[in-house]
Amino acid sequence: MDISVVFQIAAVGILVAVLNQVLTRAGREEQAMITTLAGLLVVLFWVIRYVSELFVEVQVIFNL
Amino acid sequence: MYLQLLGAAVVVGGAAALGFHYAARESARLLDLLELKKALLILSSEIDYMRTPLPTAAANIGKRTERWVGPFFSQFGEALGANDGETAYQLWARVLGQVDDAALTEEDVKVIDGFGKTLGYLDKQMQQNAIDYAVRYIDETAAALQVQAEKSKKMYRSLGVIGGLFLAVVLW
Repeated sequence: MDISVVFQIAAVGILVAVLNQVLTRAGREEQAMITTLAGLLVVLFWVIRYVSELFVEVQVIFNL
Repeated sequence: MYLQLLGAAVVVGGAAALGFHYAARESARLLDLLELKKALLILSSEIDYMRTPLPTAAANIGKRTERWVGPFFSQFGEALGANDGETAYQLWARVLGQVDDAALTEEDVKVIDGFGKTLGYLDKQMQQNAIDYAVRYIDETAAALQVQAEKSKKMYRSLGVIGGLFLAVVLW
């Protein structure tokens, strides 16, 4: 597994948190929520591969 | 690696520039509206004290105002002078449609367009009322903008920079 994806996810987390703060302060709660959702989707898109790998691994280990 | 860094820098720089552009636009709208108010006040005086015909009044206003308002009134005055059967409103709407350097919202344009409909219609009093109405709209919008402008400017700037960083991380 490539370790750099962890740092990328961390960076996205920090940036989304700051964006959220900036938008909330400006009274744009809706956009703030959309940004958070977008960040979540981007990260999910990145990790979905590893999640599916994990499931396959579990299946193999327990002979399911 | 260096190429990737360069690309990331370009993305961040571009997004930040976009943010600063929008921040600058925020104050540009206020200045544009205030310039229009100046033009309307001149028009009001031209009608009230000098009784200037509209083409001459528009040309005078064009000389005395700046930003988009100056060229707009100059063109409108010229169009009125060279009129070939169109109403004042048709000319006003056409010249207004050609304006492309004003930082106005759709609502602003609608009010300005609506003001054009009263041009050259009925009497002096009616014209003054229309000017008063437009000036009141500008005053109210400008007051709201002044309160909001600082906040929005800060927001657009940070949104630009942080959005750029976000994009760079996603594309890395």
